[in-house]
Amino acid sequence: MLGLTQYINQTGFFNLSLGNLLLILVGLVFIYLAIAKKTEPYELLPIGFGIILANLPLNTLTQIADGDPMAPIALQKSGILGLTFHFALSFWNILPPLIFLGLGALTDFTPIIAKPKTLLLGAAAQIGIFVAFWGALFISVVPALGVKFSIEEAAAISIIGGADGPTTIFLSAILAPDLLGRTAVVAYSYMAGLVFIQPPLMRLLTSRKERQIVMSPPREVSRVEKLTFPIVGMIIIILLVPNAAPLIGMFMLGNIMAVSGVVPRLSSAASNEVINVVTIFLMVTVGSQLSAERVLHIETLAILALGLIALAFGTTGGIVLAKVINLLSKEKINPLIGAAGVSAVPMAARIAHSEGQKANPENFLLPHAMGPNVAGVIGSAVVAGVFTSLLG
Amino acid sequence: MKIEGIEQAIEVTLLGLSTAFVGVIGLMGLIFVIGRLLDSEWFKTRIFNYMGKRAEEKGMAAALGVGLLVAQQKQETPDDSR
Repeated sequence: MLGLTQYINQTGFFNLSLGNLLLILVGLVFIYLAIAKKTEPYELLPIGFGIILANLPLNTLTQIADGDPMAPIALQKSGILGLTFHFALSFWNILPPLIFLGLGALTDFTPIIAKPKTLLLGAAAQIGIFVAFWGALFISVVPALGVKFSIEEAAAISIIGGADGPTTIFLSAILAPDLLGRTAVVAYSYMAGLVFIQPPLMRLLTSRKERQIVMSPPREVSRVEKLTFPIVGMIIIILLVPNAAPLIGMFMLGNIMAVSGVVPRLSSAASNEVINVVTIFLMVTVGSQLSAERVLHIETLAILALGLIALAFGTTGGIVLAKVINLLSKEKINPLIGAAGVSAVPMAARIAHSEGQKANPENFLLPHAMGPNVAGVIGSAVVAGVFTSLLG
Repeated sequence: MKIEGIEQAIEVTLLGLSTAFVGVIGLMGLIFVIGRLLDSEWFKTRIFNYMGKRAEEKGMAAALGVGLLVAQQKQETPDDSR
């Protein structure tokens, strides 16, 4: 009888809390959104599954044993997701740069090279990151809110405003590993929800006449320019912010492999096999960090709010700078493309395009919006590099 | 009430924003200069013609190869047209 009681005590059912059930429900919602609504399925499906795994008590899949993780006994007692989190994210931050390798191979810099001033919009959209950074610090000094973020945690939360999942994971893993699951999930959730967040702001900040602006077609870009950009861009950015090297270096490597056309197998591997395998482990591992005891805090609500603020201000920053450029420049740009300066490639560019078409059905903004969109990826990686240089 | 590390936070904000803008302005300048250079008649006539006619089609790496090959062939092949 005693053995039976002991056995029951050691089952997951006996140890399941209300919080676990709530998080399992959240995981199921993510899986539903991915399958039924096709919302960011490559992220939400594995994350949702990881959340469910993290909330099944006593399973070792998501755990890393106490003590020295390098000790053989600890390695044997740890689960694959726990080990992936510890070694591939927290200890050696290698998964986000590998994702950037694949993203680089999938990225086309032509819009930026054709219209370099769109780079400015990508930089302006990073303003949201700093608004959220100060917001996180500010709420930490209001005792009534019961939330306290360190300066490192504030930085890790604020990068959500870059709307770039791998960059958020990269920075959180360095500055605030305990928040990693939450910041990553909030970033991906908002990226999926950009279609609800951005259009009202875009309409609020622009007049119908501005949204109707038709931009001149981008000039043709030679192959030599496309080959030169990743090399020169990488050299300049890494010399400026050496800590951005893991992301920018891999991004540009992936890009030059694709643009050169001489290593099609490597380029194809980076944009297919590598990014796919890494996405599986990265996303399930991120989900596995969302156990009830980690998530169910007032801090999580604060992260949700700050992420939203960051994205809203990022969108605003891009649009406002586009309007300022219009005041100073003869050649008008449609301010909607400024909103694409938050990374979320290509979602943010598509939203700008679709809003432009609502105002003028003959307007084709997609190639123009891809410029600030790709610039946003570079911009948020640069800001992440600055954060790690000063706070890491 | 006091925000912890306020000086550091100000430093991070100013450096972060200025680096992002300085970085992109630098890149913009380089793209402009390199674009103009590659597009200029001077570059096309002096560099591309020197390296070989196929330079633009084959890209910079191939161009260097073609240029060297052409130069080598010119040196090695005696002019027997006469």
